[in-house]
Amino acid sequence: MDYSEAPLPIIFNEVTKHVDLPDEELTPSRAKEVQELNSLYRDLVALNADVPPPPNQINGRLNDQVRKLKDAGNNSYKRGQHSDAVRMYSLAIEMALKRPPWEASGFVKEELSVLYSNRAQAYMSMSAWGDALVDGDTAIYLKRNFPKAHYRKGKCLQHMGRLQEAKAAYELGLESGGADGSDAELKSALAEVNELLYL
Amino acid sequence: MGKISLYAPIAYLVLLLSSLALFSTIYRRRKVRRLVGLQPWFGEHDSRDIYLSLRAQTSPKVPEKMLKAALLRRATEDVRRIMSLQESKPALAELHQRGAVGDEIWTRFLAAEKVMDAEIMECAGEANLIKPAWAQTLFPSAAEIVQNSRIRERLAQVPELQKEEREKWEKVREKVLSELENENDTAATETEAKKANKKRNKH
Repeated sequence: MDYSEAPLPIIFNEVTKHVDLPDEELTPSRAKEVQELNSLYRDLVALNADVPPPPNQINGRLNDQVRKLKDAGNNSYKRGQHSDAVRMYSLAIEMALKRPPWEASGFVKEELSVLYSNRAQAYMSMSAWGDALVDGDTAIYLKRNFPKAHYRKGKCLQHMGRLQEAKAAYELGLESGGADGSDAELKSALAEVNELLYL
Repeated sequence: MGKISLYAPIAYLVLLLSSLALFSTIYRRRKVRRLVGLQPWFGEHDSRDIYLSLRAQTSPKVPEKMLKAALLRRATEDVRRIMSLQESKPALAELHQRGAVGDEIWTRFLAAEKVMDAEIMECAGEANLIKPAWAQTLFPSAAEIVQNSRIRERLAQVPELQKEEREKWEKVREKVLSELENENDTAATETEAKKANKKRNKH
């Protein structure tokens, strides 16, 4: 390799347990890299193994904690305590993001998409259409073939009077190829918005 | 006569071979000089520099896991670069074939591929030195780090996007409400006017 320059004066600080680079050597990209490195080091120290396991090995303890918070959110929602439900789903999202970054991103996406979609539903029950719209959209970003999330996104848009966008959301939901029993809802919503648009 | 006929082909061969050798050395030297002058495809490889610097350090001693983290960061950047090369290769190759992209850019691209091949080999070698057979899972782990950091970047935008959507909807709602009120007002004044008219007609 073409690495022939003098090594960087990077130092491991025994007290703070992270590495530092003197200011005069610090470019913006190096600063970001040092920060990422220190964060990865903390994850590795917390790991009970010498190197990261293969990506498909998922931390089971975190799984349980995320599931518990999600269940608490679902229960609050069923009791009609919608803002509590939002809080629980937010905590579950935070917990899910604590996963070490080397774990399978496919699993993380699946887990998070359900949480965002559920939070969207809770926001909708509070008529917080803007917040719900972004959550629905995020759920779709995480999992494209997720008809229920498309349906919720469409409903938010429809409530805010953005009928063309709502129509597009329902149509995408029907085309998305997922199967979670939302097709009937999507079809009737599409018929409804078509009527509103063309009457 | 016999002497000339014996040495002539040998002299010819010597002349031919030496001129070919001269041509080839000059040609190669020029090529190397051209390649050296080429701008690298990617910028600084910060995580590789950091890893090598940490590895070279003897006092204070850098913890084993910090070295591993640094190597994982290096592999992460390698994966990102390999992905970027793979993504741009088909389009770039076609543009180069059509003449829309010059030879220099194409040479730089091919050089970057070679550099990355060597970099991957070196990184894998380092991993196996730290722990036998780690290279087999190092790059899969690094690939997930790339994906996961993309996801986190997108999710970090959610609160800001929600604020925007809330404000947008609030504005629309206020507008619609004030329009409705105006309509109600005019409707109310209209009905009052009608009542007044009726009264007048009665009288």
